[in-house]
Amino acid sequence: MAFADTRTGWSLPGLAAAIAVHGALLVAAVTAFAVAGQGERHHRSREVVAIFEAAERPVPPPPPPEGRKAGRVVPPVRPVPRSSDAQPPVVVSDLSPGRAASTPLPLLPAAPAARAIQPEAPHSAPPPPPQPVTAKADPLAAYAAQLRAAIMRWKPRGLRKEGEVTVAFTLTPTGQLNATRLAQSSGDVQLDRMALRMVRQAAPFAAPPKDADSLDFTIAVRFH
Amino acid sequence: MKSRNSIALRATLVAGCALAPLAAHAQDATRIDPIDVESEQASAQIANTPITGIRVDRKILDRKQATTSDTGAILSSLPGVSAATGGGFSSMPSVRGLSEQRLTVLVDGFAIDAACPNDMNPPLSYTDPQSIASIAVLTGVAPVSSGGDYIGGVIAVESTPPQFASSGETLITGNASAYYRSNGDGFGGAVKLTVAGSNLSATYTGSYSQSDQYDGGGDDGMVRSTEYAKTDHALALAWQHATGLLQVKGGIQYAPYEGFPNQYMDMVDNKSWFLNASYKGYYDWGDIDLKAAYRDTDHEMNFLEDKLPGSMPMNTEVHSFDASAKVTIPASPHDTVRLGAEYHHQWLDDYWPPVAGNLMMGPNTFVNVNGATRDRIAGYGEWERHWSDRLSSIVGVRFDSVTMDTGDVQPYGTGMMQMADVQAAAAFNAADRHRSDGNWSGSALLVYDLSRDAALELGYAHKVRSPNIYERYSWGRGSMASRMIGWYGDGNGYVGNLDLKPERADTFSVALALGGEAQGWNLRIAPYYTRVDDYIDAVPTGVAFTDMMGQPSGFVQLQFANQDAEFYGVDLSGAVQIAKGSGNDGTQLTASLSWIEANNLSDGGAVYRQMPLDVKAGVAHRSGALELSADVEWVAEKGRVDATRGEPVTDAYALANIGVAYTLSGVRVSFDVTNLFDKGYALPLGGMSLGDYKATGVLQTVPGRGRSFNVGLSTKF
Repeated sequence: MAFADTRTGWSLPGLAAAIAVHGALLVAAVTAFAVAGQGERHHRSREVVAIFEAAERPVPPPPPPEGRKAGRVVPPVRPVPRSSDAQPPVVVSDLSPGRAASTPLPLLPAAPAARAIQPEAPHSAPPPPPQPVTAKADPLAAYAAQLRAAIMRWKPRGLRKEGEVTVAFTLTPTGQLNATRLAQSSGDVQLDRMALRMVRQAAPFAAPPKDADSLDFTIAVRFH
Repeated sequence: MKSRNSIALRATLVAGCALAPLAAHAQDATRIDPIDVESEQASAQIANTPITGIRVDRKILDRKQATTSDTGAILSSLPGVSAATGGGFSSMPSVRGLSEQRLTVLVDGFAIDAACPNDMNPPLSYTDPQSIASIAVLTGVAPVSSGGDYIGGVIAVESTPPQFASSGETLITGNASAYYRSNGDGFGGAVKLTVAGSNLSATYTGSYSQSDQYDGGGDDGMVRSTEYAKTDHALALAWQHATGLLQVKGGIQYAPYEGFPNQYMDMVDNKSWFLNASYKGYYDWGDIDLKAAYRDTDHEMNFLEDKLPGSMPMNTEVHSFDASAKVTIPASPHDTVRLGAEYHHQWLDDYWPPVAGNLMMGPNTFVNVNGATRDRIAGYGEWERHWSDRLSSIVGVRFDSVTMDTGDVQPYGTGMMQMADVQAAAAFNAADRHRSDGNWSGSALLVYDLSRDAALELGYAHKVRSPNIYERYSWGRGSMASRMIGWYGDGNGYVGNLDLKPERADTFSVALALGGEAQGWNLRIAPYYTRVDDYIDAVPTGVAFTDMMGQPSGFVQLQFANQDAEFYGVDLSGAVQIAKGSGNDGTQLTASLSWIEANNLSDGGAVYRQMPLDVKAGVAHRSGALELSADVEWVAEKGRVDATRGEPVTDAYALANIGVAYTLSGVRVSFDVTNLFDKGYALPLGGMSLGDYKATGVLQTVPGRGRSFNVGLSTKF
């Protein structure tokens, strides 16, 4: 009987392929990051990154080792129950609808956003950076939260695909989009393009803080 | 295969993936918290009609594929869906009482035209349960972008979406399956093999199925004309590039024989090949979906062993061309606009070569349909709005222009015994046969998430379908000629009607979903009402047929006619998780109930071939590699019957099935017993058992299948 499947209706092979592909990519990315990061992980950006990571998890869970065997498709294994009670996206999007993208939002505390990804910890690719505690009132962090809310408004609906895409983008000092690119593909062109589109449609953004030392951002979009 | 583009792309991808973290780090990019895009909420899924839409996925097909090769029969396990008996792989699904061309049936997104006066090769006959990835059935109101020229539900059969390797690797994956069924000595197998790089993918699917006649339950004995064999082969290529996905698929089906227990004829050869292409592009301004397809079908009917002696070749040839374009534009964060255009061309030739030495079937070829064309041009617009995170709507309108025409016809000859057909042909040839219909349709859907445990779907649609080629252009009025027309399995003869108007349906559909996966239970309640104006039914011509001895056979001649009809009912379904282990382990109880009543408002009787009350219950248990299942189905007496067609009453019955499966080293071995108690019963939608009638002279309804022990093997690699 199909009762349990009617509202979700995942295509298993598609799911398996997406998970395997992005799992493999994650592993590759993490490996590259870990190696490359050895020499320079204590560089300038530590405060910024730390805001999101400080509350998130103390120890990085190792990436799943499977899914790499010669690119084979492995059966979909759901690491996180989909019925988790915390509905983080709803919480945040409640704050965002109705606001024009160019209207500066009140400073959002970083905490809710950070909490939002807690249950998904095994999903995240990058290992945790060093964790300075002095992150509270960083204007760039608040701005990043604002960007996130603006981008999230353009999330596509009803896709029923699974995958993770990371988009990198650069802003001008006025908040215009200078460049976007795919930092990490999901292996599925549709998901990749949807994530890029979200960022491009959300632009132009509010002007970034004047003292921001970097106008480069990355954001991961996880399709469930 | 390795075009310069693909190499460049691959390199870019590899570089992009490998260097991304480096680059991000080196440039001090600020990492923004990830965004989760969930699709679980009913209101987010509105385009898929989340509550009245049902999806049969690979897991369910794994369980069913060893028990039947008939995709239509598999769908009859869904609430609101039943299956009218055809051949062994050609059941015609009926969704909420509407069947045949009243439904949109898509295979990989493409419609397949009827190519037989008895509809022996409906779209689902070109699918094999072993090779299907999923089937989506929209039983309620489907948005207008889902298709036109139909008034009922939508059935969409999908193959596995193209798979690609992670960069630099070669992906080789696939699956294989085989089965044996004791009742009818049925056996078959299927294989799927995908070889893919990171942006090119090739998939071959092939299957074979065959069976002898099955035995009915109890003392029913062998049911004649139920044997079949067929094989399907297809090759799909996909190219994924920076902004889109191009897919090309070609395939061939060959069915050397398929008996039809409720038709005078059998299918003795069916060859069909197709080539289709689609392009899905994803741009910043929106999505574009382009499709084109060609299909060529050669269909031959005659008698298989149970209907011998005799010969009566009947050939049908169909060429179809289909092209469509759809644009999806996200106009705002809350609004999506879809615009589309479709073109569909069908060419059909139907002729019956003379039988040497036979006075009635000669000396000329009987031209049943002479190069008929049916062209449809359509355009639609649709607006999807997400008013909030809980409330969504879709409204749309479409226009379909259907133009039909056909050439002159001729009877077998001009002898005295052929007079009815001679006169009918003369009248047909003298008539203007060009027809064109302008059909407006519209649909409106609303989905509201009342709470985390409850969602509501409301739908209204006005949909219009133009008559098909056989409904308009069948012309023979002789006994034999008219009995060759019809897909009702009732033994009556049918005459077409040039004056038929399109059928216009207004449907109201409500559905409430309660519970969910997290709650461990769910319940769906879905009532509906459809009124069809100018429903294409049939009225007596006044001709009653006689048997070889000149006695009345009980069969009559009918002519297609516009009448009015209404359909209403309720579909209930639910599930309770009574035990939950880790992973997929657990025990689940399921139950469903489908009730429908359909009235012909013009003659006050019941509409033909409607499923009586149908109640199903099942329990499924899974513990590691072990799966156990047991199902029971109870069907009430079919007492509401169509007097015009002489539809028989069928008795109530209950069936039980059990199954066990074990997966060992990646190989799933299943053992099922269907109709465990070997219950003898009449299929409520089976029609008259004409194969048995010809052999024995005893007229009865088509008996259901008796007990069968089924063994299945499947593996993925």
